[in-house]
Amino acid sequence: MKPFAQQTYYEILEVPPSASDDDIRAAHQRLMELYSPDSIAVYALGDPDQVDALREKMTEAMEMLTDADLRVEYDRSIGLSTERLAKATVAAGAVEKADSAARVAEALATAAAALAKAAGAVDAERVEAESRLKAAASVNDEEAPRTSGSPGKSEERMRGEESKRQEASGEDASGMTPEPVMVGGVAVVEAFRASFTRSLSFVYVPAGPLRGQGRGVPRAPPASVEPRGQASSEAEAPQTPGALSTTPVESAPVATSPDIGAGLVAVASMPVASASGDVVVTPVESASHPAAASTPVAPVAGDRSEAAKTSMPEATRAEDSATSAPAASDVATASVPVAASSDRADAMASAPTASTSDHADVATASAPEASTLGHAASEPAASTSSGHEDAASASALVASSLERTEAPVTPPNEPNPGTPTEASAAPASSDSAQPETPSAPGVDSTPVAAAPASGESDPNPAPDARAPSTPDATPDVSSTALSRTPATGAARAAVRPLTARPIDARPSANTRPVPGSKTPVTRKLGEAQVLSQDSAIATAESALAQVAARVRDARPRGVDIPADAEFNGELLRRVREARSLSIQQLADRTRISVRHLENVEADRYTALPPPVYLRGILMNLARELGLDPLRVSKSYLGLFSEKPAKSGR
Amino acid sequence: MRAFVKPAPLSPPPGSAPASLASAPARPLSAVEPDTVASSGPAGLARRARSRRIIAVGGGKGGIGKSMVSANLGVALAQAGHKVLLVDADLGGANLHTCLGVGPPESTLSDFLRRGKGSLEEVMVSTGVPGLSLIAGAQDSLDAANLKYAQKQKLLRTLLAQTADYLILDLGAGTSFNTLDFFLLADHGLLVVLPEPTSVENAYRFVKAAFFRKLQQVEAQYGIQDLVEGALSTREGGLRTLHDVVAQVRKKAPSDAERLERELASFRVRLVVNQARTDADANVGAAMVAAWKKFFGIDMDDLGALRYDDEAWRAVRKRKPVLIERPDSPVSLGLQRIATRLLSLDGLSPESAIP
Repeated sequence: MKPFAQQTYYEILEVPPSASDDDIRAAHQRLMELYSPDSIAVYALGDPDQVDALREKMTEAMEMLTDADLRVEYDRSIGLSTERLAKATVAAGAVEKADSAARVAEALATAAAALAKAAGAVDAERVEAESRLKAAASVNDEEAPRTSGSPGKSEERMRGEESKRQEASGEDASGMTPEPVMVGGVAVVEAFRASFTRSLSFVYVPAGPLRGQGRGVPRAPPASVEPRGQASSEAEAPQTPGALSTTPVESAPVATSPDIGAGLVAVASMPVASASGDVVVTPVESASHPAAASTPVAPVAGDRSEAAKTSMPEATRAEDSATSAPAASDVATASVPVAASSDRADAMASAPTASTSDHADVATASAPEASTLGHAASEPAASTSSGHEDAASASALVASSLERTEAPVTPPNEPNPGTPTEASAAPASSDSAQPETPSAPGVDSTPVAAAPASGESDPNPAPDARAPSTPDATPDVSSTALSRTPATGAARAAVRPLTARPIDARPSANTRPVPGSKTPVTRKLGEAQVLSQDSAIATAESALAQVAARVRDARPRGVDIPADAEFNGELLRRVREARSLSIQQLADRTRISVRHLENVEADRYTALPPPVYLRGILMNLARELGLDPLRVSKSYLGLFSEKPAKSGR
Repeated sequence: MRAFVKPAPLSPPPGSAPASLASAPARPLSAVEPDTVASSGPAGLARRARSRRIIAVGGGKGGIGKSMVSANLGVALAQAGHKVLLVDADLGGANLHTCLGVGPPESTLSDFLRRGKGSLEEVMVSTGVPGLSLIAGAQDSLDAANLKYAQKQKLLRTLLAQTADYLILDLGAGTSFNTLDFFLLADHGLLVVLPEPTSVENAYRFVKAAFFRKLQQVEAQYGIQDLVEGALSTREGGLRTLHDVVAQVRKKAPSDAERLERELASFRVRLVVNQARTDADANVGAAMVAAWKKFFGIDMDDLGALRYDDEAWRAVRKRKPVLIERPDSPVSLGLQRIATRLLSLDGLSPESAIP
């Protein structure tokens, strides 16, 4: 039971998330008739404005869901479960491999329980898909020859990474790799399965994410090595896994410049890098339509990132072309599971951003680009922070915002899991996040988190974010010099997201993630791992919902009133002022005279009318102030009868 | 809505003082006491011998066929082998007896309410249809429509104690508390609408009023008095605030919110579209269900449409239920379908229910 303003597009259109485009259009058609202005059935059901708004939203939903790319983004943003993704892939009619991959993914998701892992896996899948696509599309002929050998290498590398991670603390990246493998497997080779299983085993290893991330840096080098393999492998499925692994690593490690660099480098070989960043979405696609996807992937990635940020992937259309509708839907589902709406968005945004930043670094290799990216990120962050500030009144909000920020910070792949966990320990995590900042990569994230937490002005946090980001970017750049065009695309994508739509809390959250995503988040994410993806998403969602609710309620409610508070004149005045009502306004609304109101607020008991009337006044007043009339009148009358009064003047 | 709100305090806070005024025995007024609401139906009646099912037929607007539906539904259920008691709860405009071809009744509900008649049985009238008896509406006193609270309690209590398989309450038009309370009492709240704006408008208003009445009954439990009051004083469109009420409760105690939501959802409104002239008309019910769900998140059921049929009109002229007069007419078939639906909803297939 929720107002349609809070319903998902699927709920709005009353279609299952697996509905085909035709189903969606048909549903839209049917609903537009049902809610047409001359429809008898909805006559006087609600305000005409409400119905109009509903119709608008339905059209919006239809447009969004019939655009494959946008739908993918949207699905991810609302955190459709991995299971669904898997099912979707199956439904898509992906190769047997796909099914196996899906199952594996499911198994991972459920069995692994670690959200981070799951998220990572999903991302990895996407990455793989993207990488594959890219490989397929732009696969370097040169690389192709390598491919045969490289896949094996990549796997080996992966294993090596995994082992490292395990040592470190079972990383998400490893988890990610397996899933990607699956995807890739679907799309490409069976060999992936083997790697997948391996990767899975890795995934299961639950180590401290933080460690993993930190260690990720060392691993990063391997990743960089992988790039070659990826490039070659990209052509083949096996490569994808490698790419995936690298991507996850990147995203997670992003925090640490070395890792990122490695990831970038690895992926960087061109679009691949961007793909990896964007990847999150793509995996499914790759599975369903590896070939088709290949070309579009890069643009898609950018679009997706944007879409993720905005929560409304308008830009994504490029993807549509790339991925056939079914594929898109699959992808969408896949992506969805990864992150919860805001968290997801954040995650997505962060992922894209991260990728972008990496790309940017790579592309330019020079600091300037990086800085630009950082700025872009920082800007969004700022906007987010401002949004948070508004909401800030409630501590819960802050916590949530922090969580969100953290989530974004966390590697793109893992953001979701990380976020939920953080949410649970919101305050603590935020603090921890800040400490983490010290690490070069972490810096970006920290500022952001701090900003929301403290509810500081936007500008401050933003600058901080930028500053850190730039440094990070530079290191990355150096490391990733390899990257090229994709980087720019990524950078653009990142920028777009930032500018996109900070209006909603979620978007803002996304924006934050962007800055943070680059570096700091990683460690935190690792910490968060414990939760399973789904649960994490659920937690995050509920947290969001609560935050939203509080924000909504907070304003009217104004002052926080302890349960045992005495409603004296002073408190009533504070409540009134918190609601920014003047005495005159209050008098106009309640029809209580200004004089009475003033006397009530001044506790001039002797100047007040007899209790019978006073009670009415208090009830009315309380009602207008959104307080409990009975409680207020009882409390105030208690004071009234106790104290002889301050003497009226 | 103002007018609607004002009387609120007068209406019985459930389980409060008026109970004693009712000269009621020790038995609690569970009929209108929500806190004892069992999941299956109203008011903790589960443990008591009572009608297996209560069907209330309302609709807000007048002249939409509530009495026709009530009477024929009673006939259909009785023909299916159930013991059915029809109660004309349209106190100000009773004419259910006319629909059934029973002459002006010797004793009516008001005899039971105002005079010394100790039990409903004494005012029951047989209808000529086996298994179907009728309690005719008050016809004699001019203020029969203005049921006093104590009288209403007595009536509700007595109705709940009836042992018929089905108790069918034919409600009057409007959204007076008396009407709403009878409607909320039922296991099946049948909402009769015509596929025309006036009727639909009143139907929505009626359901909204019913849900807020329901909220009022339970508000004390959830500490949402002021919320409900606020919601009631907002202008039309109102049910939007139902979400807010639930959200508010959730903030205080999530478990309460769930309970409240369940309680609200447990009351199912079932739509009957009457006088459908076209296929589009027949689909209005489904559309209303969908729209209601969309706006307020509460499920209604579409029991199906009754075709516009001159036979129904002719049957009324003959003062006979159309189901008996012309069992093969489209409207009769529709009525049978609805009766079957209700039986299957109650888990009683029409055949097996026959003793």
